Amino acid sequence: MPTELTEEQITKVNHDFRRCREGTAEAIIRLRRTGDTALIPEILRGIVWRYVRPDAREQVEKASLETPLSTLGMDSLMMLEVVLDVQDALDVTVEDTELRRVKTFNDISELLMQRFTEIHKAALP
Amino acid sequence: MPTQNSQPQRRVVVTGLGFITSVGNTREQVLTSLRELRTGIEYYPELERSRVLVRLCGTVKEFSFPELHSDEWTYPAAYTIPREHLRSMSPNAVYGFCAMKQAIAEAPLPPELVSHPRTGAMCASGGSSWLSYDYMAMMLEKGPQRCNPMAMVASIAGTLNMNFVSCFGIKGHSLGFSSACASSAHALGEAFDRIRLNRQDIVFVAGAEDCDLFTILPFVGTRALTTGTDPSISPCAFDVKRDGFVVTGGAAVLVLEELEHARRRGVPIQAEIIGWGEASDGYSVMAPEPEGDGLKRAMEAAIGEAGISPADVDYINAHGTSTPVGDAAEIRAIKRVFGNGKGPYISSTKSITGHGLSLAGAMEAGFCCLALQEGFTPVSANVTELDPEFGSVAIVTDAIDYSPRVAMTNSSGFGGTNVSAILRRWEEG
Repeated sequence: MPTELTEEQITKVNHDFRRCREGTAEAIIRLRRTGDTALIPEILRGIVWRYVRPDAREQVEKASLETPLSTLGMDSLMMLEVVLDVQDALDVTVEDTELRRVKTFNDISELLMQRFTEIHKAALP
Repeated sequence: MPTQNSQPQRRVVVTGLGFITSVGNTREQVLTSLRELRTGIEYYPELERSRVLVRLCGTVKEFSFPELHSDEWTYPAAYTIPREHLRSMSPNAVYGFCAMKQAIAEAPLPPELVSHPRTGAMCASGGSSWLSYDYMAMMLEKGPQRCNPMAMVASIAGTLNMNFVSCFGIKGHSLGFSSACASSAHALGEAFDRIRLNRQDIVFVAGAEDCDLFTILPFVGTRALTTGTDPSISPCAFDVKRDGFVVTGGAAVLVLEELEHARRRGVPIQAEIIGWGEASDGYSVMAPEPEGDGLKRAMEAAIGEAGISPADVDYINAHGTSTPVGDAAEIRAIKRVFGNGKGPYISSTKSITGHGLSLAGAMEAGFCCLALQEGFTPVSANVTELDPEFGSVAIVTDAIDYSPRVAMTNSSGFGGTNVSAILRRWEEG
């Protein structure tokens, strides 16, 4: 990573993230191809959108990067579900100690950008 | 058995039933299937994935579990399972949730009685082999931290009770039972005792099993399943040609309630449970004792606790799985308890449902409630040539017009564990 994806990998991303907000799977594919970490906040928003209760989705759309995730009705298990998907999307592993510090979109986005860059820096342009 | 303070014996009645079974997902469908002998067993294409000769399964209709993620699971539109509950469930817990909803609605129990310190849940499921297998593969491949944190509670044998406590806010006793094919019969007995002993007023009794390849294949290994391919022929409990059982899954829930509690609520009573008994064979981990020794003693204990005589039992819903040795041991045990006369009518409803394993005891106790309440005797399907050894007992091979007043239900499991419970038609008084 970043790398050209096989048809099979693209199909898998489209399948695994089809229940996320529209455009999320495409953003993941673009991130993997380009390594553009600026896509991470929107990928995260698209995944959070999937897991909150349907009536909280509008709030997720409008949430700023500073919005505490707890105000979107996310409990700790939903948070874990989001993290599992994000790890798959970015092919990174986030440590539990790092997760405990996460409160907002911004916190987790920064953490993910950092992890993504560390893990994939060899391949980044 | 007087209680310590000489209060009158507390009596235990059934006030609600719920069914997700191969023969129907509502009380009405189950009743029709039992009355009209409609089988829930069919050809199960998934079995073609494995090199086995077995072809039949008592399939559960209207549900699908196409992949690991529970967002993709489907269940009947009449139910809504919130995501925060669904994500920790196994397929058997999904079946259980739906059966529980039916039972609560039938009883009918308001939320404050479902979630009450005097209301418990005695549950039985074998866990989910499918989820265990797939999640363990994922943990090994990607690491446990990248696997669903709910994997364990969804997979292990306590999945049903753990999910019920969470979904329904159970505040009383909650427990899981693991005695193989007698599991939910044990749950029923234990629920009965806890109400009798004044420890609970209401107890949900639930049995549930997944219904997939992972449920079936281990039994192929034990050589316990029929290789018959036609559900109008197999399984055929008590027939001379019987060659094994058919696996089924689903869920059944009974609401057990202390009689005066139910009377105060003014709700309809479906049947009374008057006693149960249990005993082990002390013989083999898998085969029943050939003379049905443990089951004989379980039936005798149940009759003793009920304070009736063997002649009072009108109908036995047999364990009757359709294995050569199992059916023989059970009929020998019945002959020893009930004498050499015709005795009670006997049938195995497993010949149309399949064998529900942990679910069987609760499901068949539920069937007995229906038989007592609706006044009919279930028929044992697919018997064309009765085993000559069973000729002297009253196996119901064709429809009869008989309304039983006292019904016994038998369950036996691996390890030679046996449970017998007795239910009586509810007649006010």
